[in-house]
Amino acid sequence: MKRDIRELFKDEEFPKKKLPAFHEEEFLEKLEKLHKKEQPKFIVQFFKIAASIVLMLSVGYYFLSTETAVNEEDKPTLFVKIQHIEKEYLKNIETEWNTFVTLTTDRNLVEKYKEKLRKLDMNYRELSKQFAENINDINMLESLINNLQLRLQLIKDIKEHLKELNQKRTSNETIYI
Amino acid sequence: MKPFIYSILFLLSINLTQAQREELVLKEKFKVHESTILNLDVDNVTILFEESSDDTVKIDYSIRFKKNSEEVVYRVFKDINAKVTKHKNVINLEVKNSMYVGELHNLDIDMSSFKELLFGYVKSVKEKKIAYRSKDSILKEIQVSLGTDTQDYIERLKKKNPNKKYGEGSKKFEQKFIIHVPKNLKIKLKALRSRITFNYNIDKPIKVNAYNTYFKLKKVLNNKNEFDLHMGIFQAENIVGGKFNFKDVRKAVIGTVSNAKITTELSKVQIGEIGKGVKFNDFNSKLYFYNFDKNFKLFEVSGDYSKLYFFDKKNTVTLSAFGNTTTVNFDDQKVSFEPRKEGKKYKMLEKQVKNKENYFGHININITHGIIEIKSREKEH
Repeated sequence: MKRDIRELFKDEEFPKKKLPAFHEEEFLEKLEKLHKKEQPKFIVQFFKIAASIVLMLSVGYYFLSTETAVNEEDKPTLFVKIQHIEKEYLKNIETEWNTFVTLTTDRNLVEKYKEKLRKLDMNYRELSKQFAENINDINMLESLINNLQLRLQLIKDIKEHLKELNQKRTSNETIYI
Repeated sequence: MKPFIYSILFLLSINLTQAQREELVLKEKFKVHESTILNLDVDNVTILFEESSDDTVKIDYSIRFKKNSEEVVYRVFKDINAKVTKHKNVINLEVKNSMYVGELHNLDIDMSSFKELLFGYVKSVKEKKIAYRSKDSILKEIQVSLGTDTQDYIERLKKKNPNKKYGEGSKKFEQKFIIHVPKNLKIKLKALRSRITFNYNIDKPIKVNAYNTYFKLKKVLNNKNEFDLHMGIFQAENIVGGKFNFKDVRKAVIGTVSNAKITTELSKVQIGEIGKGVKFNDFNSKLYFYNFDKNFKLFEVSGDYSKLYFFDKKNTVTLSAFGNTTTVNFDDQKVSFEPRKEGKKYKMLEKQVKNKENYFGHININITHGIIEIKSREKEH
């Protein structure tokens, strides 16, 4: 009983219905009424969406503010301490530097040390960024302190070296021991 | 009873699986021959080189996570980038990890213990006096050292106080990277902020260029060896031959060295024993020469703003120093040598031996703006 569906209505005509006059106005009037009825639904829908957004924002804000609060709690214990250590070291480094430059007339030596300290400072900034990302990373903290310690030690060492060299000269002849 | 024991074992295994987890990063194996070169370019890795029992290079890299945290695993694998290829006779291993993955600073104590110990450590550094050290004590230090002085100080404290709790470090994972290499393989290594340990004696040429990398080596024996290091740590039990360039290497400890040319700048180098054919060229470093081999014959050092320490307890070496503007401290005696016009160098010092039968060799120093410390009465530290 297979039949081609295209063959079904081939010979039959569709019943023709005459459209009433002003059918277009009538249709538009019905459409307007329908639209008016649906308006309160749209408002409810809108409020539902708005409420969801407000809820999402509130939850988001709650979690973000809680996280910030945790970080704020950590700040005094670590960040502030680090900042304090950093401040102390930088102050000492500056003091040692000022003494160092008064002890030598060798401009090459001063420039060489300036360059060393600049590179170490760049390295410190890079480490600081990493530390800010991983605030509880003890190893990052160690590397930050090492960097500051190294800078201070470098200047202290050369300062001591120059002090020893600058002591009163006693000989310009060969000594035999 | 048996099912009960199995249940306990099963539960324990589940707990262990949850506590620790190991993830594979790279695993490859290559057959090599004498002309093969292993070319490494690595950032923030910890590699242990072991001697291969056959003619293959085996690369085995995984990460061991101390706790099973998806967040940490995700972060680590996001920051790891490792690949290995072989083209003709060259095996290229490239590992470009971020600093987060790196293990340069790897203290295994908690923050409060660290803060407590920090003061003691700084004090111990300040109190450390210059003292004589035997070759064996230097070798022992190299063998047990974990890297930085801080790490070694903490480790010593842990051994002294085994019952005290120091907590755990903040690192949540560790790299497990072993490369098995046949002894006859040539190695080229470029490293950044890494830890490299060789557990076998290197006797084929090795070329190293590294920035802030910690090296721990056994014997390094080849005239063609080249080490160019900027910052970091260098520890080697024995060096024979090669060129070494240390810039800002604040900790270089070498057991014995012979037939090597070493260039240093702003570094601190300690040598257990100087053998024959060693030359040093320095700018503003602290160089400690603790002992001399019976047949070292001639040792040459030149420097500007250098501080040189020589220990000659048994009066076995002669020494001559040329230059100007230099201070010599011989035990308690101090002599400062004046500068000359246009920086002209002159013979400042000559040291002789009392008993010629007990003579090991001569030290020739060429120095300006330097300090020479000669210790003949120092006790061992």
